[in-house]
Amino acid sequence: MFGRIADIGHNDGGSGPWRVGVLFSRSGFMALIEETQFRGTMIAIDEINQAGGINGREVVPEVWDPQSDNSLFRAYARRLLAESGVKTIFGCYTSSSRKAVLPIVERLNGLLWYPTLYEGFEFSPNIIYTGAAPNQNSLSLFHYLAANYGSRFYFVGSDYVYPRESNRIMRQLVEQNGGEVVGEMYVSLNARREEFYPILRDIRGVRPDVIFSTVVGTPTVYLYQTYADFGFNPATTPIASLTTTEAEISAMGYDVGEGHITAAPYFEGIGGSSGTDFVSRYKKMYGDNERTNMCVEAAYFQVKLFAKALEQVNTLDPDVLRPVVLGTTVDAPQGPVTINPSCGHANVWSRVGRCRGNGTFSIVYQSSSEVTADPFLIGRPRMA
Amino acid sequence: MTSPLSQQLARLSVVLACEPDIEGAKLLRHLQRTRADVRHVWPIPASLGENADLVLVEYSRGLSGKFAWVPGEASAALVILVPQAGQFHLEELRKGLPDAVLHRPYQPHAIDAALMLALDHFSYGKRQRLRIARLDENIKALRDIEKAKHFIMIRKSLGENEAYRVLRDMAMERRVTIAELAAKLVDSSDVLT
Repeated sequence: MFGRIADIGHNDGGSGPWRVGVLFSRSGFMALIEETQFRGTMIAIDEINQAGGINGREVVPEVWDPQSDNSLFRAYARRLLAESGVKTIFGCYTSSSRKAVLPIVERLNGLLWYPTLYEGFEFSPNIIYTGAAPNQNSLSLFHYLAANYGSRFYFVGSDYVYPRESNRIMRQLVEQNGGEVVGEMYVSLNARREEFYPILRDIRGVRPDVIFSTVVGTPTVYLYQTYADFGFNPATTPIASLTTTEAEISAMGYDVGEGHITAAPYFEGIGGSSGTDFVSRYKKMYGDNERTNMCVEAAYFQVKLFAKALEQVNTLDPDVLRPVVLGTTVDAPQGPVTINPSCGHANVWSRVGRCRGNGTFSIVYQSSSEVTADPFLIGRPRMA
Repeated sequence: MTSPLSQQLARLSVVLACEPDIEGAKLLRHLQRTRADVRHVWPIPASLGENADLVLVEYSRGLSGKFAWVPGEASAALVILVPQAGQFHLEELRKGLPDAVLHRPYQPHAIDAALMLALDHFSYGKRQRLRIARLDENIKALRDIEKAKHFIMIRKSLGENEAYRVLRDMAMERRVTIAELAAKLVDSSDVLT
């Protein structure tokens, strides 16, 4: 660590508010999910401030809406770190937005808290990763699907780095376990409904056991609705996803979402009293019909974890804050979550859910504890 | 309220190796006012920069041989103090590998700018080196696991999944990581072939 050990706990000598950046799309085709991450962040900040702040100082967010545009993610990250003097940013959903922001956060020594599942194979000393890496979702999803539906997979994804890399990993899982990838199609990030028609026609011809989807944002709705229009049956050929949450299910229609499968650390309805409190606060703030999801939950618990670490060191300087974040545990709605010190990734829980007719998920698989993050798949490069 | 630079400096251990003349005394006072832990040394010791986070040192020929580190493994940010009349050789200056330079006479704003630049460049380089080191370890681990698996597949006539399970079970038995076990297997098999 840079600096003398005796000075851990050196504070910034200030008494004003703790200023943090918030960078989630609140408009554009990614707003469907990123708005929920914005909400999760703000709920956590409100709770912290209502409890008296951190060491008596209020947390004040500086919020920017990058409008689902990576060039705006870059511009606002630069503005926050270089002009506003903010050191901590809660933000990003797509891997492309994270990669767009990464060089800026590294060069200006900020700390990006990234509350989203991603494709792994990354380590930055300036990012805390609090969403699932492939060993925490893809493995358990594949296990469940192969055991319950079969191993002829058809891949459909949005055309950018995350789906392509996730498909590479899932293909290895499928093929090494005697299965077959019978199709692999990508749609544009801002896909319209019509882009899915030829894909579903192909699926009808090829008859896979499972449709593995890494479609993100608004086009998720079109995929599932088109699937329903074509008359497919989720009981025999489900869409299985790492990215479809309660938010997308609400947008597509509960009847359309029923029977499909998602892998995630969190679904609404789990998590004992801590989970119930979180859900009721969310509904109180945003409406009884609004659902929580894994992205809200990660955005929420990461702020709580940030607060826990900041309280100890009393400075936003990443050189002092980050070492304390590593190894810290927080009681998240999904269960206790620890930031793995070796890679700066959260050890999250692994669950698989099947969507019910009311838009919530029933849990069909759950890990017995936090799953240690292994973003480079060193410990388990193949399913075993 | 103290500035971000002062807050940063107050956590640091600084070595100042400069002539104890009027300008040198001015520089020392400026550094001491930041609350940094400042040690003034003169003449330049044989191994400069041990147990320091930041080093400021007079330019001289052969300076590059006097540091406690080798090039590429600096353990402190470095500012080289340059003579007023420009009596220095650029190439010698470059060999010192400074993160910033500071010209006599020392003006407060110029001192702060040099300190800030040196600390910023040094810490960025350190973060990037950490990232690269992790990447190297991960790539090596992946490669070792593939090689060890392949070795087991051939020795025991197993398929890929079974070979991996053998590796995993051996690692669990020995209470080491799969990567550590694979590295040992690869090393010993290289000796045998």
